[in-house]
Amino acid sequence: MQAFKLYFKIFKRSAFFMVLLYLLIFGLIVALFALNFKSSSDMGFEAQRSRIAVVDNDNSKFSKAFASYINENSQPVELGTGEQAIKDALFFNDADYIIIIPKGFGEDFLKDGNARPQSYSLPNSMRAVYAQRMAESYLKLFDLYIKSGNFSFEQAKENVEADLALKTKTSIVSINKSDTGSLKRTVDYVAYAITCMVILSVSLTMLAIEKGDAKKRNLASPISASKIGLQVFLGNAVVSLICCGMIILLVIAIFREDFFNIYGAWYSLNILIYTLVCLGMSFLIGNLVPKNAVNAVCNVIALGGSFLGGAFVPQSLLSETVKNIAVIDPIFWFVKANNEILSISTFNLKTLSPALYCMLVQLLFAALFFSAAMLAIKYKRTKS
Amino acid sequence: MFFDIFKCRFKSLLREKSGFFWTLAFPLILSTLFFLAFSNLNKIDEFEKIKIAVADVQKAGDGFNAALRNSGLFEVSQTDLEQAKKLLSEGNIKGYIECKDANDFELFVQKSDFEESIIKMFLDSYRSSYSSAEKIIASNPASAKDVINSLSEEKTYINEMPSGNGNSTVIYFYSLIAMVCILSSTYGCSEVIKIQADQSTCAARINISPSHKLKVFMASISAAFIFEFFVTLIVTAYIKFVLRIDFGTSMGFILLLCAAGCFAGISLGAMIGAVVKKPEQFKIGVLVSVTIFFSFLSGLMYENMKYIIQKNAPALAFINPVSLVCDGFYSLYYYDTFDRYFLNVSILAAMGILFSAVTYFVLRRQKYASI
Repeated sequence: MQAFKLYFKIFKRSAFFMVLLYLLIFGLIVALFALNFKSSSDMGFEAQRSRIAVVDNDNSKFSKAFASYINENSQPVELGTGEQAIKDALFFNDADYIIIIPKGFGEDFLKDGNARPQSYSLPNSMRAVYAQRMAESYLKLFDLYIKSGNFSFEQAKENVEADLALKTKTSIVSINKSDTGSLKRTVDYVAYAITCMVILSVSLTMLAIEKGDAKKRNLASPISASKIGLQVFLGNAVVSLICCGMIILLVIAIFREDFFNIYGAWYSLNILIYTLVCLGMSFLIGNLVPKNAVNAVCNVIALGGSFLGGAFVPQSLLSETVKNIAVIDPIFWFVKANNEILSISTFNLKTLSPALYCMLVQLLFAALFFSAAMLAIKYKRTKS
Repeated sequence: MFFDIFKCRFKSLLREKSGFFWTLAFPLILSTLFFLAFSNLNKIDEFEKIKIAVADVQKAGDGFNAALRNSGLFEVSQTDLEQAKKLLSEGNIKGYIECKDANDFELFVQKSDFEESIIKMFLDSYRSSYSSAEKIIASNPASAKDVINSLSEEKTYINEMPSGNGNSTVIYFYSLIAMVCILSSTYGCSEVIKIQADQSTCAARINISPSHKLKVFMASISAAFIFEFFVTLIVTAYIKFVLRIDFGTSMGFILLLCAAGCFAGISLGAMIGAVVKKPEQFKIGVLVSVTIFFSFLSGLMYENMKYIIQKNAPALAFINPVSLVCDGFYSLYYYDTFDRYFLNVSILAAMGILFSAVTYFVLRRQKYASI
């Protein structure tokens, strides 16, 4: 197994650092994902809160009560001063809804109910609709109490707050409790990391073996060319499996018990199949592309495939044209398989068949890449 | 002489395949991918009528039915309980309401997202109004008619102001162009290395030639600037005219901003090349890493990062040339006035002049006792 040993010596020198770098980057992304999404509880219904900024220029009893109610029932946002601060906060989604209470608002509203605060929001935003309805409810009920003439300001405030505290019983009908989607989104990201790691490690190592002194020494050795080829291929497969294993371990380390279920097992199988696709692709690149272009080709394939295939942006948000183009992208089928797995509530052959179909397409891609690589090798040998 | 050196350097830059890929081809590919992937991203938060089902609506009465209809929030299917459960399990509706009484409901949903929260808020609000009406009528039974009329009246209590229609995904494209501008620092650095005799063999040959070193440097740095400016314009034109990303209307201001960005980038690279006494690979590596990090801070990987920095560490946004170029484009696109745009261009120009001055003072009268 000299050629096999040689493969790992060269791998250590030419690609090991890059693999570690990508693993680190992916680790950071996964950790960010886990921080963002793992906290979402599926124990019971929890109403969302819009991000609302209230600018109170009135500072009256009523405006303070109104601002306090809004702040208690939202994620309050502090704004800078000036019109640009308002525009920036809306543009970058720092605030969903901004309420400006003008001077004299409290007095005028309590007098005849006609004074109005001003609001700024992005047009047709769901979060803004939610915030607006909440703010309107408070003002509407206060207006009702004040107009009736039988309630003082304090009584009206107390009653409005008591009425608004009435909540409707809400139950979550759980269909799929094992995966809330955050694990699946992370597994989608795996496509980018694995593509970079496998292409760089396999292609760079193969190029180093096929060029210069290493190749000459191999040719001069008593081991047959086919045996060397087989051992190099074995080296490629082992390196790819190590990359796959490291990525799965990283996901497990962050998601822990959330991964140890039937969904985790099927996601792992899908990752393994996608690793085979990457192995085939890398084998082809290693035989076609010069060394100084590997980094560029790797970036274009990994980034391009991930954007088109829905690894970075959910497939549901891609346009139909993009989806039609993406059928030639193996990452599209990898992410689609994850989507299909996530949608399953009872695992049986019938419910699994869409996911299995996506995996089969990936295997066909792998076979295609291997065949093309073989042809490239044969062509090169015949030519030389 | 000046023109000859300029021509040679320009040709040489055109022949550098690797530089061409990272400054031209890669941004073109990346912007296309951004365009394909982000075209529907703004629709995530777009409000559409929420599909719900109401079971046993007759128990709630006409008032509830009218309130549901007039709210403008929902697309309602009136069904029995079993059908409602089926619709929810099949994902055809966001939730269903089981009516138990005129003022008693239970809501069933699958998630706790905004759409589900809006359904709940509507029900809470209906219950609150019902409770308020009861209290007011109890205190003055004669006001019953007025109270009911007020409740059913469609009246808004907040004046909505026009807020513009910003699409925050444009920040990805602006940061990308800004990155291309500031990546020109690698060319600036290479040009300085090419006239420092202790840094490259080419520079050693230039140093023993009878031509004035400053003239050689000015010719080669001008070639690098013109080359990078054209590359930036190609990327900008592709994003503006092919991908149809909005930049506002002022073409002249876009050109000025690109020129200011390239000037700041080239002079930054020249300064690093002159000041840092390390091998070329090290200097280029540092410049590329710093540019990528600056691009991250200006929103290339996450568009809100630009705002986070602007809000929490504004000084950092003012010393980051990538952020200044990106903010210049953002100002042209989103603001009605040009104050912020000119502030960005002025800071970039000042940076460029400062970096050039440092480069000049380091490079002038440089002599080598031994190479």
